[in-house]
Amino acid sequence: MSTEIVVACPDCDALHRVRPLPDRGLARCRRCGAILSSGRRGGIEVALVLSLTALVMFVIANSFPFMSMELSGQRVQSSLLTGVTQLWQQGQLALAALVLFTTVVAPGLQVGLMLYVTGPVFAGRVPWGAQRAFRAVRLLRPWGMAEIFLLAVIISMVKLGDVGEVIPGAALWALAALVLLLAASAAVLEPRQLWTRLETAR
Amino acid sequence: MSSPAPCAPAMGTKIPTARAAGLLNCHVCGLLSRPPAAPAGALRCPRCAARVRTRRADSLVRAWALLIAALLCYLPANLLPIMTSTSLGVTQSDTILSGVRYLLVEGMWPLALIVFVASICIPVLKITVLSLLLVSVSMRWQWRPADRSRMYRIVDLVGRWSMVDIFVVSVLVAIVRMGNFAAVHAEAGAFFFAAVVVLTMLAAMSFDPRLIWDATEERDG
Repeated sequence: MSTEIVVACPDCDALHRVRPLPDRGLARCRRCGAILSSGRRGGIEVALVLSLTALVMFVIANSFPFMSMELSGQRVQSSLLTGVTQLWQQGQLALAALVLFTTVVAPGLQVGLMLYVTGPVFAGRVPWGAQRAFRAVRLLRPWGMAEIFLLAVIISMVKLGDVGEVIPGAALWALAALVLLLAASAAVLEPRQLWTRLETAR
Repeated sequence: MSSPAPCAPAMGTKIPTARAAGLLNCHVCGLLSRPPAAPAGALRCPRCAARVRTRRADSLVRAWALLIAALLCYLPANLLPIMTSTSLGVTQSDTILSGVRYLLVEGMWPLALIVFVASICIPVLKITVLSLLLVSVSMRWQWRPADRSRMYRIVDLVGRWSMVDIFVVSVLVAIVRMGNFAAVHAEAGAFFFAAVVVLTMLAAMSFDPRLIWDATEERDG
């Protein structure tokens, strides 16, 4: 039995036969250069462990103080969600919803759904709705913007440098860890591997 | 064959495509499937149950509509203030561009550069490239399809980073709230700027890059 599979390039539709790749190997489309598949060493177990850690970081990021600012004796503390509630109170409902979705809901769903799929699959079962859940993980990816939010935090701290003293809280470090863990769990697992598991177990 | 590096196909050789072979490529899980002879209702991927089509539905119409909507929001996004800050009775309005200027004046030029690229260059690049791609596909251009594919991938990849200025407003609004002493308010410009970012992201997602290559195949075949 051949381990080759036939794939179509997502960007130009050209058909290719792709062999399993070595770790960090990359197969590109011979016509348009799009990435067809990549060799990744990590399996479902690694993705599961990373997602579990990410869940802990997500909970910390949402429950501990995010940042506080001291200005002539006054001290104001804010959490990750304060921006959302403030925007809402200022009447910027659409902005509040967008910030809530991209910084809290989408990353949270990514972590939660990833756990929902990889946990049972690791134990040898396929959970109800696994296909739909893993599909959502994929579709959510461009909308989870925790890493962009982190860049915004750095820019804001610089902007506030001469206004008052800004003290980072535990949630900020947890968010930074979450960004790294989300990137790592996306880099470690070749989605095709999980799709095949979901297919054969059904 | 697996190709570790991209290599240009010889001129004149016709590359087999999924559409020509009567196969459907799932955009979610990447499974190639053969559609049933008598399909009942919408075609779905047998592995992940996502809707599958040979090409994205109404790609050009949807992408144009979203892009035009983004263009309409572009001017108010850049002309209207995105926030006003009050500090000890002094009120100051900031637009996207004045935020960059502030960082530059303060000597934070690496940050000024990042914000300039994310908030000014990327939206302009996105709108220009998407317009170019849409025109080129509508006019069935044969011009440099591989480069146009690459342009699409870059725009699709970097587009979300324009959100950084919206998040800056959200962070400042959260931290600076000391009543009359110091406060930050989000303004209408932020809404329009966020609309530009989201609409261009959706436009890029609606555009089907395979259309670039369809035009070149029609000439060959």
